[in-house]
Amino acid sequence: MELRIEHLTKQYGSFFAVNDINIVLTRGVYGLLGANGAGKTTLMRLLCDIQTPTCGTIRYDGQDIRTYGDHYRNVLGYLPQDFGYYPNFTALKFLLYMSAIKGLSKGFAMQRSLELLEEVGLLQVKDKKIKTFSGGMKQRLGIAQAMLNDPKVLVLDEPTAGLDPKERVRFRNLISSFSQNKIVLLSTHIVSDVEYIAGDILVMKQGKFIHEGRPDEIIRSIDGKVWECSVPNADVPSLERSYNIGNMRMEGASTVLRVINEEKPMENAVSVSPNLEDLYLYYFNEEENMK
Amino acid sequence: MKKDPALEALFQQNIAPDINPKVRDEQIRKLSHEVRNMEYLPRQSFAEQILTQMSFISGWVWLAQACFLLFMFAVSQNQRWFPTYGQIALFCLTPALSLILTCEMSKSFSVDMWEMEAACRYNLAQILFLRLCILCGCDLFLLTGALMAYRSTGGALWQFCLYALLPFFLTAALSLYLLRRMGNRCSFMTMAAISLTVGIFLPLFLQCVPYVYRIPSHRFCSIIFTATFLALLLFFYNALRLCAQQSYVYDNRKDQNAWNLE
Repeated sequence: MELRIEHLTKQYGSFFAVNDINIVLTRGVYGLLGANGAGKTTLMRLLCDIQTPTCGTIRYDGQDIRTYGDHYRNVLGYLPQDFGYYPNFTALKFLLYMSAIKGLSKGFAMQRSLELLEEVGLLQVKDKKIKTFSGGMKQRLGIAQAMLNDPKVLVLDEPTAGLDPKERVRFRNLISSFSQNKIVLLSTHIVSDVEYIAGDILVMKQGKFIHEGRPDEIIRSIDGKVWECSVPNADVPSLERSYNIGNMRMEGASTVLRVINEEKPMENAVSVSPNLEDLYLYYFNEEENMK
Repeated sequence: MKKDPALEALFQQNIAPDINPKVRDEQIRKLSHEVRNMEYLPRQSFAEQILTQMSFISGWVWLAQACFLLFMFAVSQNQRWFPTYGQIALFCLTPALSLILTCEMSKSFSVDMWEMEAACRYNLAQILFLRLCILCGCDLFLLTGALMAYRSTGGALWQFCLYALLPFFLTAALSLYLLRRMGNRCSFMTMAAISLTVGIFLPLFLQCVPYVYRIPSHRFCSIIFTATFLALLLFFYNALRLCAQQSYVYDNRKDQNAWNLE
């Protein structure tokens, strides 16, 4: 089972939302990391055959997904970034509706819907209208609909955005439990989400993958570029302007800064081992500041 | 193998009865149904798809359509009322009937379900087409009912075209055009505004231009029939274009697909 992406490009006028991407995805969880506007959602829509590429192909087990059509969509599960529900649907009716348009038989749909509602912890509220649900419950229902057809390719676009930490942990665990024997692509700009569950990380910037590999391998690329130093509180504003600062922690009259910089920023700075958040800041902070 | 005479005699005494063909057929039907239900991804006929999709059409659509039919029937029963009130009711209600159709067609966009639906086996284009078939079928039934009620009071066909069909198709065509061009940015309010505009301004326009009635009747009728036919074509053109769209992603940035030769 593989998803082969070759020279995938999506162009709007002179702007490249996705720019000549080549990658082969096999079983496992892939975390797609990138700032807002990096092209994550466009890539996901292209993978789900919702948008047409300007050029390039996506092949599922050797078949072009554009021509494979409903055969591909039969093995696809998708949770979009911004999605809504028909407000008067109950959780169960919503899953039955999604089952119907996924082409599942009625008997199977009912059994599968109840199973999934139990797995996502919504069985007790299956007859309640979705409009009464909290954000976390809606997201859990969202992943349940994506899992209805037991997909081989699961695409989740920013599934944890807007959730509180407890719900995020719960959601991450759900994704982990659903990810067996599947190609799971999870896009996010929340670093900790992919840190825990993704086997491979794809870092996307301006429509291109600038890094791909296991989290520890990727993090190694910024070895020796993360520093920690203690500075007087009064110096913090000027240092913030000059350096890419990660975390800062006040300790009395001084502040401990985590600086991401090619060179040692000051005499008392000590090199520390980087983490994924540092990597994110290293690649995307400049872009965010420009915005 | 040696025959056991005792066993053979026992079999002779207990011969299985002939199978009743009716019972057999019924059993086969039941088992086929069972197998089909157990099948994970069965092939569905178009009629089955329509029936499935019908069960998810909003309840208020059926209710509003039933009210329209009942109202037309009630008004047509009163011969004194019908010429004036019936025509006004038709003028006002048919754009509303059309609004029901376009609202139901656009509900995937208005509640942001379209992206999830587009990634399913029966994708958004197919879902929209199924909805179009269901709603057009119902509206055809309703308009036929309204036409019969209208004709029973002595109204002419050209009048029905002018008061009912033209506003209906015009409203639907304009709303679907906007939906096709704007997707989820085409809100209920926009479609309601179109419906109101057609429902109010078309009769006002006809009232303000009384000389149109002085045109020799056969010519005026031809104009009305042609306008209705054009509105019908426009409606089907927009509806089918909406159902045949390659992508429903509405982005302000200009899409470029010109050189995808893969």
